[in-house]
Amino acid sequence: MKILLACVAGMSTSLLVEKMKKEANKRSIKDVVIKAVPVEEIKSVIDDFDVVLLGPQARFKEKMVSKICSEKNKKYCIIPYQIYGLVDGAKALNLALSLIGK
Amino acid sequence: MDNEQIAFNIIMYAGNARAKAYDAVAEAKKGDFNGAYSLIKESGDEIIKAHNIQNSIITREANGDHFEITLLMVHAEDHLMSAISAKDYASEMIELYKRLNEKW
Repeated sequence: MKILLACVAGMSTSLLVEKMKKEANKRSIKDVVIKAVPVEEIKSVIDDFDVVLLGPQARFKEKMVSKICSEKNKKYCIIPYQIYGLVDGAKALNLALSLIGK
Repeated sequence: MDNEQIAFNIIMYAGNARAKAYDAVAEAKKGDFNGAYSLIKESGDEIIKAHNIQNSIITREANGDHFEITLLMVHAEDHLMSAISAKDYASEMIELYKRLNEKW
């Protein structure tokens, strides 16, 4: 299971990624790859991932992300404020799992 | 809110402000100036929310409670500055679209 997070610079979401990794570890979820990239980089790496979570601050790039994801048949969603504002790795992981359907 | 959440909230509100500023220009481009102005107003409201968080830290610091500056916090400030610029330029562009609209 490969989860891609994206925001404007890939910086704040990389912090969220660390929390998600810890949570995955705690739940003993194996074979999980979680990575953060700047939104402009999605296109070049999306083939390696199953799902995209977009930081709410990169909402202004949603159109682009939605186009890339539909072309590649991948699901994406904007991380809700309640999860992002609390830097909640557990809920962000749940969100990614539910999008993948696990 | 802990320090991390403070930074994330500033980033979040700044991001909203930026998105709304860009949406405002898109409305003006279509010729809907009422829509554009109302989005600029909403953009400003998001910037105020970010500023309120910032003010709470400044107040804390003024009272002797030192706030630790992390790279994440610097990054949050960077987001906020970009959002403020985006809103200012968006307002100018709306006026330009308005003039174009009046001419043709």
